[in-house]
Amino acid sequence: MSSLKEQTQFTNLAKSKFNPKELDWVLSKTAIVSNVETSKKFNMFFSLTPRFVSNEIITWSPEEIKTLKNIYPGFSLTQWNKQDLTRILLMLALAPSVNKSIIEAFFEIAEMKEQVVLYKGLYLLENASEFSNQVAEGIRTNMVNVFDAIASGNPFAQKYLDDEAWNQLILKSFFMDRPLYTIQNIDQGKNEDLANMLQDYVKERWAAGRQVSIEIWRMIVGYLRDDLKQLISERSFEGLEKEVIDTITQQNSPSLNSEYWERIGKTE
Amino acid sequence: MNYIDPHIHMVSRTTDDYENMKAAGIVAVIEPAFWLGQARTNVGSFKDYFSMLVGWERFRASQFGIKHYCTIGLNSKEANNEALAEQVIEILPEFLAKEGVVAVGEIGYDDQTTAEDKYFRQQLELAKEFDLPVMIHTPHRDKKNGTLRTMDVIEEHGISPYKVVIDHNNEETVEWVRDRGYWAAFTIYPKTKMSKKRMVEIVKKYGSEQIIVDSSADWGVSDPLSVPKTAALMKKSGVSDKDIHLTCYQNALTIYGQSGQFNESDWLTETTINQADLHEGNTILRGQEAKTIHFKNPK
Repeated sequence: MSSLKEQTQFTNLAKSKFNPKELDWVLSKTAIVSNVETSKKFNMFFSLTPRFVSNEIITWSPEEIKTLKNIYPGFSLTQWNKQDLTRILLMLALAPSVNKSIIEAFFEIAEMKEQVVLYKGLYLLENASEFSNQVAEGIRTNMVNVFDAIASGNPFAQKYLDDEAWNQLILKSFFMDRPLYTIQNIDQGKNEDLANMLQDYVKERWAAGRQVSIEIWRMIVGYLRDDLKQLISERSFEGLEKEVIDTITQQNSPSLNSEYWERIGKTE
Repeated sequence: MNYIDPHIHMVSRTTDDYENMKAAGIVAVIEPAFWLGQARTNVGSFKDYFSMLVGWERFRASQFGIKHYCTIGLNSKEANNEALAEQVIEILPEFLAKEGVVAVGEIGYDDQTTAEDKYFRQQLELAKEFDLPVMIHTPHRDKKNGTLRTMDVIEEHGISPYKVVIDHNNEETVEWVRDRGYWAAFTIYPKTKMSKKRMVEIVKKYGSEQIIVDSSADWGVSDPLSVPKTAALMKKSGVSDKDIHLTCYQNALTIYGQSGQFNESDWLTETTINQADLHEGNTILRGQEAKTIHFKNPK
């Protein structure tokens, strides 16, 4: 959830990035959407945005980035263009009394890019927590860019998903071959159920003669089972994988902090 | 050479088709909303179909390096269920507003009933409202009168023929369609409609101006490679490269480009396809190797 102060900060920063003609369009449409009587126009304006606002990628100053990362942890990990900002301003313009019904209905007809922005924007809503079922549903997508919008550089999942949905997100990241280190606050999401499912997954993959992502051990370390220890001792590893396996099998390895795993994720 | 197939129903096609199309040089496709081989019975089926055209199918095409666009409309066959048609017309605007929707279509007449006429006209008005081109399906039965009537109605609604593609032409209709300034599209089917050989003769006779080749491949006997195959036959038969380029690529780009939603730069800039979402029966590349494909500027 973002506080009203944070929403205002975000809105002001976003508005400063448009040219006058674009800003006119944005201001007039957000005004219409903010009126509960006419808020149903949200769908149309959200879709028409590319006709009136360019898709230029925004460059942020270091100051701006600092503010934005406070409001939205992970903000700098993904690109934002003017259309994204416009669409998020439209989401923020909806009154919280109607935003859930309007946004959820719009998800049902949203095209690929629209879904991406919707999922990226939810965290900024005052009542973000009310959208956790929607995000849990989003994890079921097979569109990689939509999945990434939820998983990558987006603080929503760790903050609002229950363990079951969160665990599915992590499991599916491996199935879809997505990186783990870009998931916000990943280490806070470690739990024994997840570690067990992942260890079963490692066994299944190894039995089939296939590899696993090295990042998987980040979520397993601390919960490593004896059967896995046994399997590990029977296998030989090379390169980075060997380094990681050696490290996690040592007792109380002090080096296993988030910087370590970030390096592993980026190298893999 | 690069090709565009401006009329193909990819939801009915396989991943083999996508791979072959890419290999044959097809860089972009337009998928018109049509019927599914049997009538739908509620508006939710339309909603999910339209959202599939702008969602999953768009993604699926991107995995093979092909840019996917679509047209949105209520087809003439299903316009005859008036109670349902009313509801479908209601939901069209929200889809017509979407990025990558390049026309209202495919619309027109099937049996030429009163209901078909009513919803055809309503959708022509939507095309004006959204400033979009129109893709016309001409009837198979009573084709001559159906085609002439279609053009009369379009003109009655004040739409410029330059913004309209009339599809499924034959040797007869092409004359009237071209005389009145419309874009004339030809559907190349292995058995019915138009053959590759007849198409070559048409291009030889009329040249390439405002003539478009497409496959209309769907769930019936049809060939998703009709455009590149017809281009190859044209080449072999002595048709100039310029005429091939116009009929199998550029003309489609020019007419549908009027939507502002169909830009060459979309596929000429480097496309990276991350075929990462595979494994364990999850999506489209079951059991194949994960790979990232880089398509540099294909020209």
